[in-house]
Amino acid sequence: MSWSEKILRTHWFVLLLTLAIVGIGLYYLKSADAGFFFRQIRWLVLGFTAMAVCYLIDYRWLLRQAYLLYAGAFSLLVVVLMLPAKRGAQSWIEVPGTGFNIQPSEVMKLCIILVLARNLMTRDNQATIRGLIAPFLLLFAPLALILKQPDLGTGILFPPLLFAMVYASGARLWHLLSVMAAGVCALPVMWLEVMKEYQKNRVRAFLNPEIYSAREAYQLIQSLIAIGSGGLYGMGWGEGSQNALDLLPDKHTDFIFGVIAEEGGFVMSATMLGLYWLFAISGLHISRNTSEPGGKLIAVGVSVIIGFQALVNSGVVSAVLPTTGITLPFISYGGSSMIVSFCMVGLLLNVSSAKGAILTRPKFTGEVPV
Amino acid sequence: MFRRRTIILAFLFTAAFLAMAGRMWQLQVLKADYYRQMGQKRLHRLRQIPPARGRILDRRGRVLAEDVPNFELWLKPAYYKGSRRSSNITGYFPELGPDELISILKSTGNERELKSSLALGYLQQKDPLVARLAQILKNKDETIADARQRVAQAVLASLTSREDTELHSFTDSRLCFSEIPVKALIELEQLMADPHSEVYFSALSVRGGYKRNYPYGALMGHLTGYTGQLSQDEYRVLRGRWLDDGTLEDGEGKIVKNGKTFFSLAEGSDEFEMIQPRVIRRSGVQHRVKGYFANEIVGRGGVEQWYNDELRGRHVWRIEQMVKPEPGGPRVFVEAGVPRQAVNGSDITLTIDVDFQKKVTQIMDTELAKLSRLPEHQSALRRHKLTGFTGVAVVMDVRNGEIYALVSDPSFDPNALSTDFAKLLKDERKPLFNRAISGSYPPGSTLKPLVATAGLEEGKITEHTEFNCPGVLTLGQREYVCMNRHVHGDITVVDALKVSCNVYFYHLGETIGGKLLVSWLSALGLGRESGIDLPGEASGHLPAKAFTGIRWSLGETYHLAIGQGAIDATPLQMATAYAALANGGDLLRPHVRYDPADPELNTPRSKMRISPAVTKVVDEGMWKVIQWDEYPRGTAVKFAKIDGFEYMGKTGSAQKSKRDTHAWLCALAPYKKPEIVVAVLVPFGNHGGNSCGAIVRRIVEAYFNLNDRERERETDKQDGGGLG
Repeated sequence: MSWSEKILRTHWFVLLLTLAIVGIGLYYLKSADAGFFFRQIRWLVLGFTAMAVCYLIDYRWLLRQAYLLYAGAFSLLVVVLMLPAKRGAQSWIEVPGTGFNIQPSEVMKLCIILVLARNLMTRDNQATIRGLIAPFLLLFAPLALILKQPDLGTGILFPPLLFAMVYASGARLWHLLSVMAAGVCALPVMWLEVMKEYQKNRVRAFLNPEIYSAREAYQLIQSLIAIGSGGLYGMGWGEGSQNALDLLPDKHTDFIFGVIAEEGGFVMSATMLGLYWLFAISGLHISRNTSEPGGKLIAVGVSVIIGFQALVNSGVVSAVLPTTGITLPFISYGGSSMIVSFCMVGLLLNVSSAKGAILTRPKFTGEVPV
Repeated sequence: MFRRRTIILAFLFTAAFLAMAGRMWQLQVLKADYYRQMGQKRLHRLRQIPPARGRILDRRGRVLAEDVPNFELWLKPAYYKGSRRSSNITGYFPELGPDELISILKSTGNERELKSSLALGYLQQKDPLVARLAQILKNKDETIADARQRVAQAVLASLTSREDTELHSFTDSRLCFSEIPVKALIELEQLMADPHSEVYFSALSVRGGYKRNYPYGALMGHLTGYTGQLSQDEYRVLRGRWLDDGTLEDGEGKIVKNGKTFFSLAEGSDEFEMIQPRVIRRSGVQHRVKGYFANEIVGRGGVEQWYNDELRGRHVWRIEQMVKPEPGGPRVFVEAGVPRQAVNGSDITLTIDVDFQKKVTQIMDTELAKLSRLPEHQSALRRHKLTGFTGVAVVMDVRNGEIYALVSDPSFDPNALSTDFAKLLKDERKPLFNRAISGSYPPGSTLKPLVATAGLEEGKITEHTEFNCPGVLTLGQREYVCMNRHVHGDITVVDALKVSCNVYFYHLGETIGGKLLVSWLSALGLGRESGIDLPGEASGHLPAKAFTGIRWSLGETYHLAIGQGAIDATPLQMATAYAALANGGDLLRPHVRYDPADPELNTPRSKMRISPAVTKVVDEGMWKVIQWDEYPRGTAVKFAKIDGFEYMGKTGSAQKSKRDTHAWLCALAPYKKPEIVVAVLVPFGNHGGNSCGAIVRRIVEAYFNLNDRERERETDKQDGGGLG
């Protein structure tokens, strides 16, 4: 299939959705911080390029290289843990000479979709506990490294991704529910042994924002004020006082949703949520309409990651969830996140417009392709 | 199955997004007003705008103390205390003292937390000034003074480079809670060995304020006093709260009716002014904070303290709103709503003449230095570990009680008090102690004119009554002697004053009687405060009347009659008593505030009748003390006599102990119609005439502009002369 043929078959709706999200995001990023606006455009150019690459190459080729990519990303995760911490976490690798910091966990986000798809599409025992072992190991090994950094924000996306993908490929619901129950039982252990003091404080602050309003919950309260004072129609672009007075920390990255909600009001925040919802639903729709199992799973993975990330981010900003440090896809300022998100869109478009041989065993229990 | 599962996932997403939209609806529609108000509350604050304190002027309008504009560095400690209090954004109460700060910072958990705090990095990165200050204050090698200077320079440079920011409240205000002056922190810095103590400065702000300036420094130190911040203890007492029925409850739960005071800063002022009670909310209860605010500047000592109520002015609470003049620049607070101005304090004009005060001080300085070099004084100085003599000079108008000069040497410079304080406390000469009003000394022979007046006025003696002085008077086994057992023979009151004959006054005291004598001295103002409008006045000592009836021996009357034993007086009391002799019996209220219209200050405290005939006799005796140059000479003739100008006085060499004698000389000038009284005291100065004579002479010469006749006498001829 030639590139021109592929481009003609592009899933325009998803592309337009993405552009709409990006456009609105840029508009409000300019309000939040004009300096970052121009730097973000640079990342957008790179992001579109990455999207084009991920779109135009054959995703099945990528699936074939999945384990290799996974190994590469994994080694990056190992390397980053050997480097000194920056801003309190070992999450970035500086590319020499450029000043650009790669965030290996973001890279792993992309690779884990590919490797899970690759792993699940080639087997048919997902309905058994044994069949779940391999995907779980594939996911939890990098997850452990990511949590070690610590990068809770990226890490929190991994379990839902796994559950959604194995569920979509045929795992039994009660298996997954048991695992979740076990996870819930492990929470006290996490609290006592794994979580760092600052993370605990975030949870405490989340539970009692008034008491922790000076430090831990400062951001939460400022964010709630920003969202709440937006009202139904918002205070208008550039008019939000929380934004204009720099009272909302991280307003150009993790908390940009607060700026959108303050200046655009409920109308705009609901619109944004609707756009992300449409994106996730479209991704799932693409999955449903794709007969090729690898593509199906990639589409599920991308939808879940983008949709869930938007949900968690807005949940944090509106104080439904404890602060985790998660970006709002396509909007938050930041290179790695932006490029990886666009790669995912590229993959999704790639799947939607792909047409060709099925790369699977005949015994695959999914629906038989026509 | 696969298809259905995708649909199930889609439903799950739909549900989750709907829930999220519901949350947004809750926040942005249902609770919008709540959060909008909360945001507005955080954008506004109440700030106390200090008034400029009133000036203190001398009688010719020259400025003795004034507030000059100044920038202050402030810190907001609530940030460090963390959590609970900080929700109260309008709290300005520095309940967190330096001690607490230290302990908080020393507890490692918090310290680590502070160091890693995002706010710190954020502020230092956002605000170059904060970073620079942190740098400056971190430098351990600098002295406090250097650090202060550099901080001031940095702040000024920074402020002048941002023209459009509102200087009054340039602040990061990320967390604006209570504040304490950073001055305390610079000192605190010295206590901390932690090189990371820059954490303190992450909540700095710079604001406009005033600095008290005393152009004449030490010259007026004792008179002006100085200013300082209300201490936390004082504040605890002073804040109190107003109850609904108009009563005031203080910190201990005591209730005072009708807003009357339960505590006043200045002694003598019994009204406590309530200014703009401000309502704050704390734990749901309404409090009204009255009058004094935390951090308020109050007078300490001197006129600053006595007239604090008039000088302090009124604070106002200003509503301020946070704005950002330029994107990326600092956040500042600007006034919102109706502009409000603090009401500046009123000026206080003093009766002091700075030029004259300066002359008197110079005279004291030079003469005391001369005395301190004399060989016969060395043992006394050594005994009291003094580097030089101290001295007091009071110059008062005998007609209305206005003080023209009040010198207690050594003095202190109120401008440099904070830096010199330790040194001042260590100084054996006690420069902070105002001897003129707070020091009680036996008056010695300076009391004799008062005793003579009592005797003459009561008719116990006449001008011609003679007592025989054999040089010593024996009572039982004790001997009461004249100075050096000098034999004066038969002597009248005039000559007894001239040569300061003790035996004459022993007899006179006996004739008058102890009880009557005490009541006379009391009427002349001894043993009670003179009522001068300066804080810290001593009342001196006079035997109580009741006491005179019980165990009073004749020997004690003897002692009392020559100003020894059970009597102490301040130099100011002696000046007041002499003024009463000079003006016919009016016991004036000495005062330093110039306000001829004020009846409180200008009405005599009591009036006695001292007949002109009596005055004439006593005046003649006192005239001879200064002027009688034939043998036997007056006791002060040698150093005090001025050719061509007549005045009168009485010396005193008051024995403090066997070895220590205080030198006194109280003078009235001019002789015929006295205008001023000059009371000079040199503690441990031994002989009154010798030690104080030159001082009094030069003061009188200075006052009457007799400078052309002023002459320097040889100081090596110290022996001889009259008796004390």
